[in-house]
Amino acid sequence: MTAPAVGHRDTRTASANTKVLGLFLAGAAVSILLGVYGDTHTPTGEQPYNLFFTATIQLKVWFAMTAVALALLQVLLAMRLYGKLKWPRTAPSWLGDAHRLCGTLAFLITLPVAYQCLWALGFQTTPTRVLVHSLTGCLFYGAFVAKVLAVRIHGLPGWSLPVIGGIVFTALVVIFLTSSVWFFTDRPAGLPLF
Amino acid sequence: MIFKRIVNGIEAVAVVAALVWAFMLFANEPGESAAAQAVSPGAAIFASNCAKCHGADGAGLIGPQLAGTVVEKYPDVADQIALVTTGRKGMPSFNGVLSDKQIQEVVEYTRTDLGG
Repeated sequence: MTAPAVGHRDTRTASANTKVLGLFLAGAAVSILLGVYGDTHTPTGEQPYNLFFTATIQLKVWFAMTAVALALLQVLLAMRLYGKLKWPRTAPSWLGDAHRLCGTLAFLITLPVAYQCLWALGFQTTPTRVLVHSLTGCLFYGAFVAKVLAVRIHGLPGWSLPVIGGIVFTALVVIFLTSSVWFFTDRPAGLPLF
Repeated sequence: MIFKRIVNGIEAVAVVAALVWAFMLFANEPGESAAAQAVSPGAAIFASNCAKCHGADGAGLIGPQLAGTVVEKYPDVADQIALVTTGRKGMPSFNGVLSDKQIQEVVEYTRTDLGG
């Protein structure tokens, strides 16, 4: 009597694993594509935009700060959604939408930053800080694509969304540490903050 | 309900923005590389090693502006050569990356062709 149930469970597990593998491959494809573009594209060394900042570098630094702040808020909202945080006691109905909104805005604000990085600077391997930045920059967008797909796919293992979301957040933080934090602490003398 | 619709709308905007972003990466490919177009050795060295931080025209990017400033900042060319050779906070050392001759050529380029 239990054999069919076990067989059905095996099928569901295999299906879930296949979906996870598909997510991994989709994310990896995006990451590799960006890495290949950055490596083969000839960097222009130009500053396409700076809005009201002194230069593009300052725009990127503060946009990255904003993205990390939004991502942090998104993580906190996710923790409440998963019951890891107990406040507010009654989770409002809009919590999930607020989580999505923070992530979407964070993603949007990274686009002009990443565009100038890839287009004007390219994928660089020295020094180590820049290599790590280049690698995690590619990883971030691959993981983000995987996350967006994971939200829309049914039948994934319960751990997949938090893990993929965690990878996205971690990648963004590493990008931030290897760029904005470097800018605040070690930028060339005379370069203004804003 | 309205909030959900707003979020859905912003997500749709994000999808379009991502597609435009990807398109512009490939559509805005520069023509012949700056290094290939450069006439002098100093210009080629600058395009390959310095432009990514100081800008293609020395106007500044991550690194400070060079165009029109270096002669005033470093009246003694030996000081500028020493800086490029040893590096400093935020700028890598080019000792071992460029030869002494190449460093002299690129420094000369910044002091003449970039407007000093």
